[in-house]
Amino acid sequence: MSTVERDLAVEPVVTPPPTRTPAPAPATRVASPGASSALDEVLTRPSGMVRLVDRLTRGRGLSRRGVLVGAAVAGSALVTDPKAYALRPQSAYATICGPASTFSGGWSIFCATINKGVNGCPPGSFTAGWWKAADSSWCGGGYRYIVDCNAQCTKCTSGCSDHICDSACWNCSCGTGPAGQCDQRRSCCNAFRYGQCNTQVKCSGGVHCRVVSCVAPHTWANCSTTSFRSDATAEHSAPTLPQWGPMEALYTKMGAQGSYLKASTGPIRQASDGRGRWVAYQGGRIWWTSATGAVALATFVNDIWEANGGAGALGYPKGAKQTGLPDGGWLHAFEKGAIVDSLSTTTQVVEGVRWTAWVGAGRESGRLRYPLAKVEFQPDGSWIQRFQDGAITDSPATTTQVVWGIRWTRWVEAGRETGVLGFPVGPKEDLPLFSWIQRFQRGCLVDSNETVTRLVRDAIWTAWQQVGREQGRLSYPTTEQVASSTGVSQRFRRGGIWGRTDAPAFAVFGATLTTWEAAGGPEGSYGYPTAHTVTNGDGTTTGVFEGGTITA
Amino acid sequence: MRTNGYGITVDVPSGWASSVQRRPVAPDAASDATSRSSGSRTARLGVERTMPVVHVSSRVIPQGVGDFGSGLVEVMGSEDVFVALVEYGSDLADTGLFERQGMPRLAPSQFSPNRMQRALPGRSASQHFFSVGGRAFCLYTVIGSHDRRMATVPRAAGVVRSLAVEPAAAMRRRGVVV
Repeated sequence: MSTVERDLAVEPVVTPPPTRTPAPAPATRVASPGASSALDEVLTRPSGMVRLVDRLTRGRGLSRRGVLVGAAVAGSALVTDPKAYALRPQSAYATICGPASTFSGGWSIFCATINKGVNGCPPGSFTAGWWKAADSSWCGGGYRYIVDCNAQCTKCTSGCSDHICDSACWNCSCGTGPAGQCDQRRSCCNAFRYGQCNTQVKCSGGVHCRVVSCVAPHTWANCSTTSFRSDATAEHSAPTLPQWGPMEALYTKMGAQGSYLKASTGPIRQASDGRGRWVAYQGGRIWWTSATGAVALATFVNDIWEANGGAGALGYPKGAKQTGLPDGGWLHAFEKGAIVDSLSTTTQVVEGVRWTAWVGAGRESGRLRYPLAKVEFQPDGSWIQRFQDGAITDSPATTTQVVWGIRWTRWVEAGRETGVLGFPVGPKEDLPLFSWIQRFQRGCLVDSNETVTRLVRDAIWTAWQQVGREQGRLSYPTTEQVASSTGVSQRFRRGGIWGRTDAPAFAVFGATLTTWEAAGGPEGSYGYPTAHTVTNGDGTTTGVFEGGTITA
Repeated sequence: MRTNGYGITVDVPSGWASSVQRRPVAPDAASDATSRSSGSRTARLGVERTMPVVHVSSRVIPQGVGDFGSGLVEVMGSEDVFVALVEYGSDLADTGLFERQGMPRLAPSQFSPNRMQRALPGRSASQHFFSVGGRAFCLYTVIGSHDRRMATVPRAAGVVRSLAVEPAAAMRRRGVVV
């Protein structure tokens, strides 16, 4: 036999793994050798999955849904080791657990199997060493890192002459996995240590269980960068570990156990709506749909999302959390809304039509800035959601509108939706020369470059519209409405509007106004106008009043 | 036959196989990116590294054998011996798990079936952590039959006695950093 010193530059030859094309959707088991042609079709052409399902259901009394739904385990097995799963008699679970998954196989169990699904060292054990296995389907064909969690010598320290105390000293006992699942490997049996982690611990117990990751342990645990390798373990796994896919790929990209998500706490699960899938972690969840891809949510955000209706209300999360927004803000977008916060506000949800309106208003950088509260619903079907600089509101009699800036301030002063103006019926409308108007159910707020913001309402609002509003004879209002014991009035740039209480109001302007006011106005002999003043062809004006007519 | 590499020398019995290798590091993009921005307070920043591994075996050492013998130990016969000297890096030497100084001396009493990295019927193993010359090592020895340890361990012990390690300082003086 020869002595071989392997050259630095030559990577030991590793037989390439069989070519695998991940199945695009779960499929049922194809047990007969004759089905291998169908399997090859799937493996070589992803679109072949559709034909495979059709072939399986044809003439067998199975529905397409029946083939696909509930086949997550089989689908995972198909992805993990499709030829083994399809061509050798074994269960899908056995394929998920990989080779040598029994106690007699001699390998150590996965912590996720015995630690309530948590892919982390159980309490009382510690990371003691790690190795990697190449070409693992559980890491998208890359390296899979396996960390041994060793027991501690809590009961005694005899036997530490070779750094492993006697098994009677360990804080766990030799056993195997719970019944009913395939990871029946050894727990707390093998008195071995890889040794790169927590080297300050001179003596330990044996291997309690194994943790897995697609990210090297020295980046997330107290371990040396020294790498060892054992490719025989590349396909070892357990049912409680998430299979490779978009969610695990995102988790890996985030740094796996080194991210805020920390360790996974279970396998991929299917949401009840059939659209979403998720993996739970100690620090949050990763959700996936075919439309949104994989997105991570911290526990805090996930809890708020679920408390506010989850996928049914907000849809599924879209994209990573956005940070660096104004005022230290962050926003997590969903299909139908967002969860958002800033230094000056608290975490709020904006969803549905409110989300659409807020986006249209420029979102946190726009006219409304950040939400101050959740949407408030009223028994009559109306609602309002308040923001730092305004609100979005709607009622059964109106449409969704945004009220912001000075309009919001004045509307609040006027009693908001239960005040004199009622609900907004339109947005802020920009008018010539930097003027604007926003209309409400019973009036408006209006301003121009030569006036200040004024509220026009009720009979005066009706009259002002009749005479052409800001483009008509009167132009913009210069005062607020004034009430007397007999009626109401409001001044405009070129005239005014008067009316008795609870009666129509009318515009008076020009020389007619001058003459009428000289005679005492509404309290004089002429009384209140009964029609709008009109301009005559010769430039004079004529007004009709309770007590007579004035032409001037 | 004497073989050496990376400052480690060993006498290989006639008919046995040996290898002294240091795997090239195949970068793992995810880990390299993560190591540059690790949020763990106890994590070691930096890139993954490999260290020298010496294998001496009474059987052919297969291609792709694991550093601790996976792929070989499964096919050992009752008279077979496998010795692995695995280095961890001078930064770990002389302290904690690697505090003990000098190459260990093997004895049958050190072997037990439960000392295997992977428990296999009949097999038996011993494991030692130590430092030599400022270099940290693990010596992992597997025999094909626990029942035959009185006969096979002395053969492994002879191989281990022949192991010589050049101190890290000496290697640095001649321009070699492991």
